[in-house]
Amino acid sequence: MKKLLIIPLIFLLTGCWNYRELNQLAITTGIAVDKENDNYKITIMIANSKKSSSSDGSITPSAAVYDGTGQTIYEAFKDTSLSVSKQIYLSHIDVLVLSEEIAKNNLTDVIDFLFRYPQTRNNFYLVLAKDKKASDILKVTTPIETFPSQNLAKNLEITDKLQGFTYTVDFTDFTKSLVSEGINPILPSVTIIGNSEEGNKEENVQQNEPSTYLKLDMLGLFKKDKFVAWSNPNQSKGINIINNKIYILGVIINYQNEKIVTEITEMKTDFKVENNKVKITIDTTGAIQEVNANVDLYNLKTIEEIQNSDVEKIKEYVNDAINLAKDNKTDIFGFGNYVYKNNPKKWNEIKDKWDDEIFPSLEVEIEVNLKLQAKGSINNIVEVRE
Amino acid sequence: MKVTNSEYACLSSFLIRSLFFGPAIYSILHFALQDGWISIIVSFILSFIPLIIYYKLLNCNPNDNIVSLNNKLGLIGKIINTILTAFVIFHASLILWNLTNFIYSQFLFQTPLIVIAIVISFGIFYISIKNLTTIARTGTVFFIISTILYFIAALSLISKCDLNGLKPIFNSGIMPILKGSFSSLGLNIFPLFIILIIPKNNIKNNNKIISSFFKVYIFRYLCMLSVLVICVAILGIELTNLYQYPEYHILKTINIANFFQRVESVLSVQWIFDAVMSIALCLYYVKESITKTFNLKNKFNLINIICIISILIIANYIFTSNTVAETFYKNIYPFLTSIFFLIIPLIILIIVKVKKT
Repeated sequence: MKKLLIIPLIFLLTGCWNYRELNQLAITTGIAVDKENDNYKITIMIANSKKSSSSDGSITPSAAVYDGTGQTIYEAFKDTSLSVSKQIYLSHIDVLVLSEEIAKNNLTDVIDFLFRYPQTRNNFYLVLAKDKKASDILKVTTPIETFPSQNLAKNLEITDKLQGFTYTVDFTDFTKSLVSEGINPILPSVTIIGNSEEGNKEENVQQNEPSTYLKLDMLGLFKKDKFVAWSNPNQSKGINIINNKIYILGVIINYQNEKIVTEITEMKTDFKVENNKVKITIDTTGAIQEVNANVDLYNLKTIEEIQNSDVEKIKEYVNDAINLAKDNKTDIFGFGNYVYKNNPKKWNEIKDKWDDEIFPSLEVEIEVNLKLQAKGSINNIVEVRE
Repeated sequence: MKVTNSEYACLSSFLIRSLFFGPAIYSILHFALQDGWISIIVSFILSFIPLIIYYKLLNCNPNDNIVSLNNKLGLIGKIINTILTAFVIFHASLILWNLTNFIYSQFLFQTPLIVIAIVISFGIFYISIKNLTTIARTGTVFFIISTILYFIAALSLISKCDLNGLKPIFNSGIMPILKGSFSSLGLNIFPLFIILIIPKNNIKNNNKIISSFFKVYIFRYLCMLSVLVICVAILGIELTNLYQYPEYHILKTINIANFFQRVESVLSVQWIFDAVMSIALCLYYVKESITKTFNLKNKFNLINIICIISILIIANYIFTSNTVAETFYKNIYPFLTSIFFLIIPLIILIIVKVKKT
């Protein structure tokens, strides 16, 4: 009996059903979605496996970009695959770039396809193409990274950690804020500096100063699944402060008509929503990072004045962000979600008029507790001898 | 052919979790939403009712398993055995369907379902032709591996949990929680009846069976509770309900220092072990039942072969789509298990007790 069992096992243990070798797969690292004549235009960036094997010294592009159109996302993908001699493989996507038009009108179609498709891993980043086509964003080459999509993903990650005005949103986070009660999504954006046409040329990679490059821009606000507005730098900082997405934030204040920069390194924001009023409490720690004024940093009163100015600046960022959200009637902070979680009965009564009526009329109280702990490596300003 | 009390406890733990990944999580969260964790706790309390019945049946005659016990009831007993055997085959088919659907929908979506089912069936068949001691030892090894994988997954995910996701509590009242508890009982606890195929006297140190059983039982319940809490705390109830296998999708989010990532396939092996061992136990039950009820000899493991082919056929044709399956697991199957694995055993117990007196 045991010997008989071995016979079918010989056939079953040879490999997976329909297995594919790595060189048969078109490993997609980035996807861009645009709208073109009422059709979807999908652009995919494929890692070029041929590059690593080229030994004749010829330069082969590290990545190739293909596009296709269709009435549905599925059809557009199938159209794209007509140009590719390998099977499109979506398990290694770094970034999904969405055009403004898609973000305004057809976001859920894109989300549904990628959410449903078993190959995708849902940890890739989403980014909006600001003032440019999404497909152009994916084509801009860079001398720093091998793949443009990887360049964009790493730029998002590093900027998220080192600056306060943008942050990474992965597919799961975005979908979660789309389907959750009382919160609307936000996405970072990217734009092209220079000529889009020049961006995908080989010369762009070979120059010390690339003529065309990608630059992260401000945040895009959504109301449910529709893009509604862009933020400015101060509003972006305010949004990130309320959403607890600050790792490092530069606060620039005017002190005696000169500039002083404080770098915030720890920030924790809590809020409570009660009786049409939001109380936001921000606990933060910072250090003086740059002083362009003639001040005495040994003087406790000076430190206190700088600290108070920083607090006012942070309040200004937060107020700017809230006013932007109120103007566009979109609760991107999750104040409604707080009400839903803490008072679900009340939420059921007010949820239909939350974004349009209640949220814009919310009274806001902001409390900032800032500890200005350090002054960097030196104790006072660099005073030039007279 | 004896098993130790800890092996016995390990085997029973597979039956508890046989339909937990997929159907049970889906049903509990569909009814109770973010209060699903309360449903699990309520079902733990209510589970003592079937456990007492099963324990009494185990103690009725320590030399007899449930099949022999029924056979002593004459014709009625043989009819009950036949019905229960058919239902155990059906139960095994549902477990196989769930496992196949999981593999198909998450890993091998271009592979025909029947091919996946056949490959799994070979392993199950091989386990089932072994004697009880070997099955129990295999189960213990699987249990240890499953436990290690569970701890790796839980510890990797715990930092991502936001317990605010469990709010609001008691949002939809007590009835949805009770419905969720019933689903949990029907899909996780009532199938424990199958473990009664091992007679008490086949368990070494059977005086310690309660303590070893409850250690594993409570551990498994805590695992189920934690899986459900982690899913909702990470994804939120809306996303958790949207995914077909949310417990698998949260494993995809594991990333420790950009080094320990893409480990979901390895960590989900624990569910494959659960399903494989449960079906193997079902086959053992069916084999014992058929040989003892109809006094047949299992020449060339013919009973096992026929059973595994039947399970394969049923699993392949039972549901036309996974929407039908979801509805069945949620709305019908808990009632079926309560009839076959709770009410019928209760009737058997009453008849045996009456006959004894």
